Amino acid sequence: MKQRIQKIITLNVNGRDYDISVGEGRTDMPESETLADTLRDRLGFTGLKLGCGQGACGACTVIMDGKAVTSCMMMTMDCDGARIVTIEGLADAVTGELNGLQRSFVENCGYQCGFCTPGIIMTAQALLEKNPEPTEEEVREALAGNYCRCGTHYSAVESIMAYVEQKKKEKEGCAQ
Amino acid sequence: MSKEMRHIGKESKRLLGEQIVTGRAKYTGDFKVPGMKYGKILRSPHPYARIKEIDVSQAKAMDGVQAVVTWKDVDRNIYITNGFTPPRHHHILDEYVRYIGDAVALVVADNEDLANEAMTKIRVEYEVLKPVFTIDEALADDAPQLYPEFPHNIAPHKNNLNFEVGDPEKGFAESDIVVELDAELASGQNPLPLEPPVIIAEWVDDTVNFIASAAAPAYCHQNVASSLNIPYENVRLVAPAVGGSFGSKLYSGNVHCLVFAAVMAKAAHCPVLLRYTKEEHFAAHQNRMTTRGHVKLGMKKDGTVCAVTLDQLADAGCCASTQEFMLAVGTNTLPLLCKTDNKRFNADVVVTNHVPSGSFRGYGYLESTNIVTRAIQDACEQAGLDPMTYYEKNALQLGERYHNSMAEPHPWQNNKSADWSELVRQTAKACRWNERWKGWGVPTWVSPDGKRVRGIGVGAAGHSDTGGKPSNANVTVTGLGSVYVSTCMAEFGAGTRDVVLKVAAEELNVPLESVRLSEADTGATPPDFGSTGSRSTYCAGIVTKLACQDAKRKMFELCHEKYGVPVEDCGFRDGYVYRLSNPDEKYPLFPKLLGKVDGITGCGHFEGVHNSTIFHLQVVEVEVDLEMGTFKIVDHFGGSDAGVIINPLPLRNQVQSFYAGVDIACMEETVWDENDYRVLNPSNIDYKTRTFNNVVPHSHIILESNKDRENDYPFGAFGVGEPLLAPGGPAIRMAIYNACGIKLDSYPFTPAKILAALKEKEGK
Repeated sequence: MKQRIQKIITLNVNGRDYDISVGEGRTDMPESETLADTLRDRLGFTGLKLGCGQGACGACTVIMDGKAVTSCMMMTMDCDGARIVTIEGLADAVTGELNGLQRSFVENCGYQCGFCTPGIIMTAQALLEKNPEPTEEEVREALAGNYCRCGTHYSAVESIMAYVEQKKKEKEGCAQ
Repeated sequence: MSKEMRHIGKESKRLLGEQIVTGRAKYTGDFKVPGMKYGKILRSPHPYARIKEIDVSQAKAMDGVQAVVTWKDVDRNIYITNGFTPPRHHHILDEYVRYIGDAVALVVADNEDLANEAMTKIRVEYEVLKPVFTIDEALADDAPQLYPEFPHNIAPHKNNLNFEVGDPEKGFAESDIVVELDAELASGQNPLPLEPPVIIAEWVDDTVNFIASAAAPAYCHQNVASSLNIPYENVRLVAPAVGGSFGSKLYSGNVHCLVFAAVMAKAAHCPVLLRYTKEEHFAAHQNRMTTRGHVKLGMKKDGTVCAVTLDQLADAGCCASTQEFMLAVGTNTLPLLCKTDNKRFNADVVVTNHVPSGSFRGYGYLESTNIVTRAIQDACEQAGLDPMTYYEKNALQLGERYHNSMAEPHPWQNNKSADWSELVRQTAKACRWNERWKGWGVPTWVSPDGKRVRGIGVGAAGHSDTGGKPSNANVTVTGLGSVYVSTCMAEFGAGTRDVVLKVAAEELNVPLESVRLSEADTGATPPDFGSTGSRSTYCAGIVTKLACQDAKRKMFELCHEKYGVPVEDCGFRDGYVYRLSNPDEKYPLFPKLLGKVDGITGCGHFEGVHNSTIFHLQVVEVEVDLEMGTFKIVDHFGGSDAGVIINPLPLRNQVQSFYAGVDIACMEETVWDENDYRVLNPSNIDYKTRTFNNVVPHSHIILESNKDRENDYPFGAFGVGEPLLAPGGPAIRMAIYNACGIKLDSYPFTPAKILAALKEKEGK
């Protein structure tokens, strides 16, 4: 048996820690690996999509330490200790129940081919965590880096705003 | 259609919905097949060159490299072909490379990084040749020849698509106004689905199995089998969720990436995933056909067209594949926009040294609409005729006879879809056209300082292909009442598979939850031409309905044999046969008619028709900033007819998917380096598209003109989505002219072009 010293980084993804060994061995993660590749290929979170690999389409958006980031533009090496939420982390981990934002997309059919949708939902989720009652304009600004070719420019935003309005109503209901 | 529907037109969650929002929907790139390796393509740095020497020994010797393939390793009988292709010419790997991006070598390795590294170790010596980049250069007398099979760089027609009917010269002589002009569409727009081309290929014995992001699986299957020169049954293709297509994943012509993947997998003896980078997607897949036309239109002052002729040239890039068929589809712009029986059409396909052109939503007719509409706009202006009046007058009416050149030997068809002139009237009414139209060259609004002006415009387009080509589906009803639909329709966003689901549930009168659709697997479903040109609602819908009816007939016959119930007195719903004359008399499939693990299968076959048309209008109002040369759309309105609406929200999404159409005029363009025709903007940053924070005010109407009339569409429904791009550019061109009196001829309408045109106008 051989022994060697290993470099390990830890990512917390959807509430669970993953240790990843870094190096040049066949099963090691090369230092040049992007977060998108690590999440998809190494850890199996294929919900985030690779659209352009250039940080220009938003399909690979995940929430890292509360902020929406394009994971194809992050080196995994720079993410040691980060708390990451992917689209797989939004639904209730025990019951599988969709979160309110996801449900709103289903009810309003805020998608077509669906390839951009995980990135759009994660971008919106990050916005809502900071600003629970955004205006439509603020939502649109947040989504400015998300590319969609099918034309969900209206229906995706409607889905998000429907959720915002519903939350507002619920809040008002509680206050009364 | 007065009968109350159980599912048609009712809102339901889309089949893939929950999977999409949870990230569980599986697209091709999400699959990891055991033993799978990764493919990469070494691409040519020269637009035209001969490979004198190629040395792959160092690349091959690398640890983790499974295969390196060059042109010398590929059977010459493997070449890109389909039913519409001119003679054999384009080999996926050849001694010659014919554009910057053409394949030089294929590499398969443990991962993409390693494959990229291996490519740097391939030594190639080129003999650089003189290229041709434009139609004019290709047709010049002393032009270099790209293929020995194509004298003068013209790809000979497989089918004769040229025609002349009536007497065009007589028509021109009878006209009050004759407009003759040249027009070109040369911006090389990219279909640009978010998901780039991605294919997994694996050979099992002599069969190549694909998991492929393919929008029309059986059609693609056929073209791949032909191109690989193997029997149809030696291919199997499964299309999981498709991340958008817009024509670019039909693989109706440029099936290169599937053939590459198959050749890679064969050479490497393992499954191979080949996914294009975004740069390859932009620069080495396919873009909108560059085409130009000489159009001549003769018209009476009241908008009655007397004759129209169109001579068109299409630039195929380095592979003539689907362009001929695109031109043929485009000929239906003539009967749909110009109501005359005096017509002539001539076209040729030219090959050049750049990336292949290919199918893109608006397949051929977007291109011809852009050319012909310039003449329509000029003619209407000369006549002082409201363009909406022109469109109303020229739109096909229900049952009206028209010449469909694609329907040879029976080109005279009668439009069976809808009264499209009624759609024009309803659209005009809904967007208050009459109040807003001020006349040609007259703005709708001028800012107090005179620096900003607004104008309104309308565009229309359509084709006659929504019922074209064959479809098939089988429907199995099990003893316990479960329904299985066997269809190879893929889902790429429009909700096609939801249409199939609802039609089956409606026809069999069962809950949606009882119905399951097969995977889009060409090895396990009957062939279907696929979801192209808005044909799937009609064609997949009708075969599903027919298959359900066939299954019901068989159940009724069984009920007759076993219990003596007359077939014509039988009805079916929710898993049981009942007596129409006494609905309480029920015969549950199990145990009365079938075993528990048993079923009855019905077949649906449709060979296709040539008289099912589609039409769509868009009205835009633009605001031009005369100082900056910029413009923006301040209002956008669409008019569509669905026959009968099956899925309301997905249909809404379809009619909102117009941006790639208006943005032909607003911003989209492939920028070529004029020295070597490399693509200079192969990224989502440099290729400008519509962003979420730059949307325009939009509204639309969707008519349901089949609701109360007899028709043979599935529950009255026909397709809607395909023509959403074609009217955008022409409508904007008209609106800008009305705003500020300039006629722009080259897309996109950039500030530089607008300012130059304004300057020229002032100079006059």
